[in-house]
Amino acid sequence: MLVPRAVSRAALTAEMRAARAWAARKGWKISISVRELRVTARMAHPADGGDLILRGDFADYRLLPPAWMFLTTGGNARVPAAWPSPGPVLGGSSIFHSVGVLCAQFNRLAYHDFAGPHPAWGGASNWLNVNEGVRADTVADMLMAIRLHLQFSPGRMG
Amino acid sequence: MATTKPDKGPPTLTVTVFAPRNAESREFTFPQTMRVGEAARAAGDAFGYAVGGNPTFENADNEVLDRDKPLVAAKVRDGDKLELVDAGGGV
Repeated sequence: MLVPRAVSRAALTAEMRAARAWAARKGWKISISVRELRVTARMAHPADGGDLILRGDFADYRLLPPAWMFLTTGGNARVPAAWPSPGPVLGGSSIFHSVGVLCAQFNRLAYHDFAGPHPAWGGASNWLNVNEGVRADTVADMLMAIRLHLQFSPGRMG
Repeated sequence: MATTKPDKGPPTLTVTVFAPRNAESREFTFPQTMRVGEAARAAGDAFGYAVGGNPTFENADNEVLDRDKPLVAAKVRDGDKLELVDAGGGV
């Protein structure tokens, strides 16, 4: 662990109120566990109406961005049907890259040092300086970005 | 003696903007002809967003507004409630 949990908990706590307000405006159900450093959001896939479960793990926040993943109700992130498929987003590409990888500056798992596809971003600890593609640096902004791309998703990855 | 009307300036519209990072909304008044992207950038600055990104607005119908259109052409109306969003793509 790089950041004391108390520090990450304080950072997450500071962003909770805005994240809950955003979720209330957009109709997403979110739960925030400061103790476990975890954010879970549940929403309907706009294309099929079925449930999606999104989880962010916030250990070492804000030195590192959270690790975001879609899960089955059983907690499995490797099931393609748990992941929204990519669609063109406003003339650009989607952050829904492949099963297990949400390709955005605010996802730890997109960085090469966490087995992600982006070696050029300078490592996950450089996340607040990366300015490529969609950008988000608070919990609510991350949820906003994921929701926007979800609106253009035609279905699921499997 | 001829009189002239005082210049009222370009027509404006006042909108309520929500930003994800803030629990409270703010009101902004923009010229109707201001481009969506410029207005969103100005609102983003006021909410403390970092330089960069691709800010635009989402309207109450969940439509993401074209950053290059003037507000009035993007069908923004006085009194609208808009959400600040980043229109950037994946990488």
